[in-house]
Amino acid sequence: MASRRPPGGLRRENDPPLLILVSLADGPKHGHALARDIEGFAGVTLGPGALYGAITRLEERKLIEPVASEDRRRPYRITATGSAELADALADLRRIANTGTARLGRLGLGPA
Amino acid sequence: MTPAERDLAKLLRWYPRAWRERYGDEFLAMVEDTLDGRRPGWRLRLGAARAGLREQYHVLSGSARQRFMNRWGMFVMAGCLLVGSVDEFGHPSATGTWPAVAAMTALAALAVVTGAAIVAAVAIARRSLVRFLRAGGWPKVRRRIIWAVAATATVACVLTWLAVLRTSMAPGQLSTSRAYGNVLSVVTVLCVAAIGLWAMAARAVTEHLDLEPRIQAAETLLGAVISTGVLTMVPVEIVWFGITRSSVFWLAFGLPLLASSIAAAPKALRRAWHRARRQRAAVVPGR
Repeated sequence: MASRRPPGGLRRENDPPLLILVSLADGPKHGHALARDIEGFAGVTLGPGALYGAITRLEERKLIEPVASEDRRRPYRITATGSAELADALADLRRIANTGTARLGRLGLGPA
Repeated sequence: MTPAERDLAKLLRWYPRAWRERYGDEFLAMVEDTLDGRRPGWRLRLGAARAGLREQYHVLSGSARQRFMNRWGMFVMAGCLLVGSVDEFGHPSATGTWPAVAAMTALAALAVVTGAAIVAAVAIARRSLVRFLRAGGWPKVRRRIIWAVAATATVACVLTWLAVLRTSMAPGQLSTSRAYGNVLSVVTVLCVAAIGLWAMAARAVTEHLDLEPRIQAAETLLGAVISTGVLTMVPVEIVWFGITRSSVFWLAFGLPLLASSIAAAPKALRRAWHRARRQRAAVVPGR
């Protein structure tokens, strides 16, 4: 249902906006640090184009904000709205994961 | 700026100016960190181009987005129909009937008017164009023009080759030849690309020209005539195509499109006329 869909394109676990929010939940990071962190915890490689496309949208929606910096490598941090959106998105994913796991369990294919 | 930095900065050219000013530096810093001294590969370039074009599209307002889609839709249709009609010529179908002749005459008349408007637009801007080129402007537009010329030359070569192929094969053979169908698809894509590249080249040149207000006003009017001509030619060609093929589908598609193009033409021309009047009345500082 469209109204239940979390805004900001947070629909799949490999969505760049969701991955960025998860990464920033651990503290402010600049572009390259974000890409490396995301590769580390999700195994997803985000190129500069995809990463900055997502950063632009997230900043527009005030889910993240830049941290003042003299360096060219500007760090970003998650906002309170961003944290709430992330919590909603993760709850949705958890519900889907739980349902999937339970159904697989009934087939005898669940995790050991 | 070193050659390596210039090479990296090229990645930003696909993005809108406002985006470049806001994110350009940090984007390039990230690219430098990612590459760690290596040169950007084709995947990175392609990714940046795709993301930049997406940003360009994103910053357009709703109506501008609609205009953008309409324009590209028209480019695609114009390319498809140009190739389709080249393929259609010579088919001993309904090309001699009076509706087909009328549609073809209208198409030819529109082509003449549009062509004359293009020639006039170039002619009245020639002084500014010469000034721009003499002032060393050619490198600024060279690449776009070379791409457009190369695409046009390729289309011309492939179309000539197709014409030769047509004379050496029977119509029955043609319709079943997979190679002929594949070449036709490729030339259609090339045709769309050539039309789009010429439009982009013309826009890039115009942006650099320093036109007097009355020339600017005339260019606005001629631009409206050209776009109205092209936008009307496409549905007329669809109707002609539908008549020659006796296809109800193409007629049902083309006739409403033609009616809407004809209905929209006076509004577009009137809008251009008002804009031209405003441009003509504009006071240029320092003149």
